[in-house]
Amino acid sequence: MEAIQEKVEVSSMTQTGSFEPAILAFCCEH
Amino acid sequence: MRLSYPANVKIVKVPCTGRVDLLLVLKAFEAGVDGVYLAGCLEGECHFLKGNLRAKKRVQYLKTLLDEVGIGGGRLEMYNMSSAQGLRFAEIAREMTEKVKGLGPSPVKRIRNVECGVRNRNSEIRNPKSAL
Repeated sequence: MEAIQEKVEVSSMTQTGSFEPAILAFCCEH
Repeated sequence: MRLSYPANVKIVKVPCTGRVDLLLVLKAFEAGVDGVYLAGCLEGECHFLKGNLRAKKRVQYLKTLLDEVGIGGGRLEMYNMSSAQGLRFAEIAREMTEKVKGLGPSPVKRIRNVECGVRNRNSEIRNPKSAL
């Protein structure tokens, strides 16, 4: 859970006003 | 082969997508992510036999749940690919970014921002010096 918290970057409106979504990908190691 | 994918996609490595349970995904949304996807092995090729199939079922269930609570099931996806499909991985990361961009910011974040604003205003009323 802490690992997720560290990885999450809260998305925000950039200076240009465009929205950059924060996406989390759970990837299988295999 | 050097492939690039959008920087806003953060990867959490798991031994198997079967390890990803509902709470883990819900916690991620609570933490402020706008979209989540699971990248598992191809069907029938799971190292742990049925992990990816379990994950698929969970994702299907969670999508309905997210729709019901108003977050939107479209913010969650499950993809299957092999470790040799790096190009497809990068393509999916871009595809998911575009999809979530279209959906806009997560409503969870909006609600949290409003609540934080109310809390800050209340603390200013109780303690006017904090507002200065």
